[in-house]
Amino acid sequence: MMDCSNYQEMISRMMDGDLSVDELAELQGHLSECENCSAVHSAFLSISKNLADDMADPPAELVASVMGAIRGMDVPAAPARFPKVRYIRTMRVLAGAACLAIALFGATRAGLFDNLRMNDTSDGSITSYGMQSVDDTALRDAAAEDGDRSTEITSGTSNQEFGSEWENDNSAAISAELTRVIDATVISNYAENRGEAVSLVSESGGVYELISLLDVDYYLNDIEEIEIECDYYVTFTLVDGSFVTVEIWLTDEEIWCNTDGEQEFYVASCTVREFEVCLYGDES
Amino acid sequence: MTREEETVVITRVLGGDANAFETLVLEYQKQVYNQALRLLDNEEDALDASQDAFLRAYRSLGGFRGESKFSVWLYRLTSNICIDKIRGRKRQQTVSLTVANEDEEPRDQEIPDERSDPAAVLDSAETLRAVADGLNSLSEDYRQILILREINGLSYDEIGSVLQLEVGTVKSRIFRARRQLSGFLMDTGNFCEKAPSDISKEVREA
Repeated sequence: MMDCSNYQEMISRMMDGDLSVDELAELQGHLSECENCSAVHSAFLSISKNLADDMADPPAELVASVMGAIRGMDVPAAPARFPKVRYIRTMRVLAGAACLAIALFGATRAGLFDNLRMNDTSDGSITSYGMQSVDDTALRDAAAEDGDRSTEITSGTSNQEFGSEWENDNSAAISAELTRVIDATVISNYAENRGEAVSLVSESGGVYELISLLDVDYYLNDIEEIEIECDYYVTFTLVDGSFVTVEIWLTDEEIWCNTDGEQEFYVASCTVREFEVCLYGDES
Repeated sequence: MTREEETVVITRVLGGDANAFETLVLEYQKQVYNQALRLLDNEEDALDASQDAFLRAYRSLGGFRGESKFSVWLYRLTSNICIDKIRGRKRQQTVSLTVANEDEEPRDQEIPDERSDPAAVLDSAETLRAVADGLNSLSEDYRQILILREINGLSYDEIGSVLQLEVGTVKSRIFRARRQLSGFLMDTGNFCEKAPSDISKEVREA
């Protein structure tokens, strides 16, 4: 037996042309005898009409400014299978603390690790990468300098480096490689990557390495903000100079990731000391 | 513009004819701008976001694989750019509630007085503002999905691809967004010609 809530959802679907003939007949029957649902129907229609009627004309400068900017640009290139990216290694300390350093590398694995200092802790299980400290300006400068360099997969867990199969990236190989990496999810700040930019933290308790998986689209966002609400704020710099960010919320024993206030995931019981991020891409 | 027409234009752009891109801008600027305007509720920000969306679309055009229509892809870019702006605002907390409220009065006055019937202008402007306020009262998810449906006119499938949601989720979320917006409008005295309190109750409880 359908209640009014069901009928009201049907009203919504009817407005979007999603009802079958039978459903339509049933709904119309109900509307003819239910004042409340008829009122809801009117309200929904009114919303729709108001939104449709209230379309503003875009300012004339929109076309001019877009076309003016485009005429100064290169012809957009056909992309690699994965967007070319540079790598960012970021490291932050525990919740609430400032970001210690952000370093960006557009180089090969060797170049990357040249800039990293391995710190083994007493029990040997925790490894962290120390990094040169750079400020945002340096980061942006580095991004500019590295604009044309494609990179290979650069990643590592403790002292282990990924094998050459990574260099011919494919998602299966990446997934396989990540099977030993569990416990944590990073969702990018953007709907674009929701549920896809799943990143993982090493179960070893060692380097917490967050590797953004596929589909971090390279046309995503600029980042300007420094102040953050979340505990970790990860930034990916992409080949076109844009940035993608990831936010992570932590507690001492739990990792929460939040995309939009509605989805909040309990991820794991572990204390994250620090983490790194890399993006990958090859094919120049 | 059909998908085939889009493809022809995109091919020309990728072949080096940057001017061809203007066809796409002209075709979609109204949708993009209004999408941004509804999401951001600020004309200047909407213009920025629209410019940004087109420029990113251009830069990324080589990566557009035609899996969806260009327009859908463009709206997705726009949506992301706007959401980014919204979250940036929240983070920076530069827009206090007070300031936002103070903004309302001038905004009311900005509503273009272009309707032919002067008597209708007031009611219409009031309702339009109420709908805009109601839209702003919705959660980001609800606002985003309702705009994609009502402003951009995307199908359930297309919205699903933009927001990466199952179609079933799209349907129910659009319904919930409409229901919540109706509730807001009824609570604030709009749509009051039909027993507001009862309807409002029904809508909220449904």
